[in-house]
Amino acid sequence: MGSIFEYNGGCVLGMSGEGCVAIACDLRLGSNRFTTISTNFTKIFKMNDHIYVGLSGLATDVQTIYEILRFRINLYEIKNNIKMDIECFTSMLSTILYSNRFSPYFVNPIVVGFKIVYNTDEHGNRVKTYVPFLTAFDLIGAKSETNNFVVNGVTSEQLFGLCESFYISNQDENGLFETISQCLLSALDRDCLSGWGAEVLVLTPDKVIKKKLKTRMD
Amino acid sequence: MTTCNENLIDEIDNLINNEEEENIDNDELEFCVAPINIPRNFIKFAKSDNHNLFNFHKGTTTLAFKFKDGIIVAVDSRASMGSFIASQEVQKIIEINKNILGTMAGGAADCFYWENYLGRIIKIYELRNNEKISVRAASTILSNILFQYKGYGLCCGIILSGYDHTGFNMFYVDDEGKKVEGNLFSCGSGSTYAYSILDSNYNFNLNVEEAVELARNAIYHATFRDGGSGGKIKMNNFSHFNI
Repeated sequence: MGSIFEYNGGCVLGMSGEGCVAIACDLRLGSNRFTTISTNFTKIFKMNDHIYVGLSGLATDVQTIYEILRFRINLYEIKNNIKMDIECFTSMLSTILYSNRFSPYFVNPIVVGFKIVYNTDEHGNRVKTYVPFLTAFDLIGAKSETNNFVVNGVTSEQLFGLCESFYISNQDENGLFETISQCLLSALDRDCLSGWGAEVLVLTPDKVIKKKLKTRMD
Repeated sequence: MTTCNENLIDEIDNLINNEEEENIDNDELEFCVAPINIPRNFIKFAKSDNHNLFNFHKGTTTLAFKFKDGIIVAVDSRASMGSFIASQEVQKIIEINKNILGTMAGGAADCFYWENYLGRIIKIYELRNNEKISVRAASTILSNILFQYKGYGLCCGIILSGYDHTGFNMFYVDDEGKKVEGNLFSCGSGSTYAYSILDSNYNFNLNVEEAVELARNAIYHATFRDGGSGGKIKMNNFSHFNI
């Protein structure tokens, strides 16, 4: 009997570029490690326009954590009448995960999005700047913020190797899409428990582009 | 009661080991075993839940079936080490001799070594008796060898298929010492998916193109559903025309 994370398989990956970020996942849902029961199980969830969460690990906990986060972020936005900030969101997620320190949720989340920084320009007007923001967590809520790429899931070792080799900083949207897709595709070809389709979302401050990748279905 | 049994097994094991020592030829390989009284217990201990060694998972799909024009053998080509894909280009069909093919499922090292060892034994048989060996005899030799090593942690699921003086024959040989004759076999983690395709569309009176398509389809669906199978589909086809 392998690790509990290998029960359903799956992986997620996030990368940052110049004024854009991208998040990608595979689409497999496995059962009992080697049997594939769905090729349409996405692991990327939108929290609000500038916060996307990727959840890999045990599928039941992926669904549960997603519902918990959706509840908490909606409640926050209703009570405080303000869109939740990404740094606040990552702290909230970290607390939720740590509150189950002794019976953890078996998920490895990543959070990808934009941090909104307010400045005043020379006329005294407020100006918003969108700064790419990536964070990875372990199953009990340790945050690690980086500025290049984040990976999680059963394929994380393969993904680390590929991202380290292929990552180029400050790419534009198209270059970022190519890089993240190639990293993900090559990693999926080396893992039995992930693959069977992949999905990539490229986020910019004003739009999101979602693409499905054609992968090997074995 | 327990100590009494252990002593008995002890004696039997020593007897076996002594016999092996007497019959050593120069070209026979000696295998090192754990230096304890009952080497099989070491393997049983290593396989237990706490340690989980030697629990090889037969991550593969192999199949073979007989039809009116001969035999089709089809395999995938993925080798997995746990959840990591070690290779997508493995040869899982081994030519034991010109008339007999063996497939590889389970531990790659085990299958490869013992099938090639069988090839050596068969060559000696053919030189001594001046006749081609039958598939039944080859499978008996192999299953007896594997039974000798029962409990030592071998993991093989081998489908031997070939042509001899009685016609086309197929046998499934196992690391537990099982030997079964039949017309249709599939082995490995993807075998359940391959069986479902084969059982729905198999009949003995297929022609060669239909049989090849059936085998390809079965392996394809197994690679789709099973994480341990994938890569390329490789097929060998014995038929009357190719002998």
